[in-house]
Amino acid sequence: MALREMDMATLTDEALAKSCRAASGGDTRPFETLVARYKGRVFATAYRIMGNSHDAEEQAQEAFLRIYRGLRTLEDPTVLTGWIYRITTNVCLDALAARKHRPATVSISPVEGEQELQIPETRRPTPEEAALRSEMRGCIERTLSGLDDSDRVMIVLRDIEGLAYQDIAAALKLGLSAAKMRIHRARHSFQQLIQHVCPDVWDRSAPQVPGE
Amino acid sequence: MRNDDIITIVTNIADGELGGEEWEGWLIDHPEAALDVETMRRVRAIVGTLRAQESALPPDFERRLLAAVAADTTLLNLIDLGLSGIGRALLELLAALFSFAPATQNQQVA
Repeated sequence: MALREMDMATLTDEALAKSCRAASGGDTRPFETLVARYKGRVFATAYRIMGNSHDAEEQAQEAFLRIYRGLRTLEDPTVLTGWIYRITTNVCLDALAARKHRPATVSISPVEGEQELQIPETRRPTPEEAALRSEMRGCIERTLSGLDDSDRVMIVLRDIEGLAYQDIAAALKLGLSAAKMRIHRARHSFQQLIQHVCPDVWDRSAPQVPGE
Repeated sequence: MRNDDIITIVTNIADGELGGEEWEGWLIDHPEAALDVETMRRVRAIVGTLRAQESALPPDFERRLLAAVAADTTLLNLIDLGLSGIGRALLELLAALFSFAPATQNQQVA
């Protein structure tokens, strides 16, 4: 019996992957559910790696096409999340390699159809707070853009997307220990770069010493 | 202790996977590692501010994506049909060739 859309939305990732594999006769509902579940994460990852909204959409679309084609042959549906991140990361790295130059610096304000990342607000920030956040976001994104592709990918997957090391290792086909070495190196690269790009942000991040 | 082991421990402490008195004590005994942990934590804290931000998907992103998938599926089906058509034609050609072959031989013998 076909699952209703509401039931499908409550499926675990593993069950959803199996449902996608079993779908036949042009039934795209399981895949549409998967898209609804992962579109934000796939797009955000692509955005952080590519550095702009236009390229992110292009690569997110390519990633979903590969996911769609690959779902039927996905041997272990329990690794769906890591597998999706692996495809997204590889698609973006391939695109960067083809582009052969650094991604454009992400501007603080949207330019020419560019989507600015939105901060969910529980209250309206004061103009000073908004300016500070905007400055900080711009600094972080400029620093990320300046990193090597491999360092940027590590920071994006671990410290922004919050992937477990097992998922990162699976996504990048690394051993667990190698993944930890890479994130360690990437964070040091980030530290060195942000001290040049925006030293204020780095200085403000120092732990407060009691009594100071 | 090897350098790789120290890096793994530093990363685990910075990420909160290792903690407690035992590891606090270890950091006191290893001041360089403690400094490294602090650097890792500061980078995590700075970059982590982006985590709280939701990326605004471009308008109609999902519709364009599903349309692209549908177009890709149609293309793949056409290729699949095309390949099976070519396969069928090849089989028919081979069958025809083999059906002619004995007759030709017989004619030569005659």
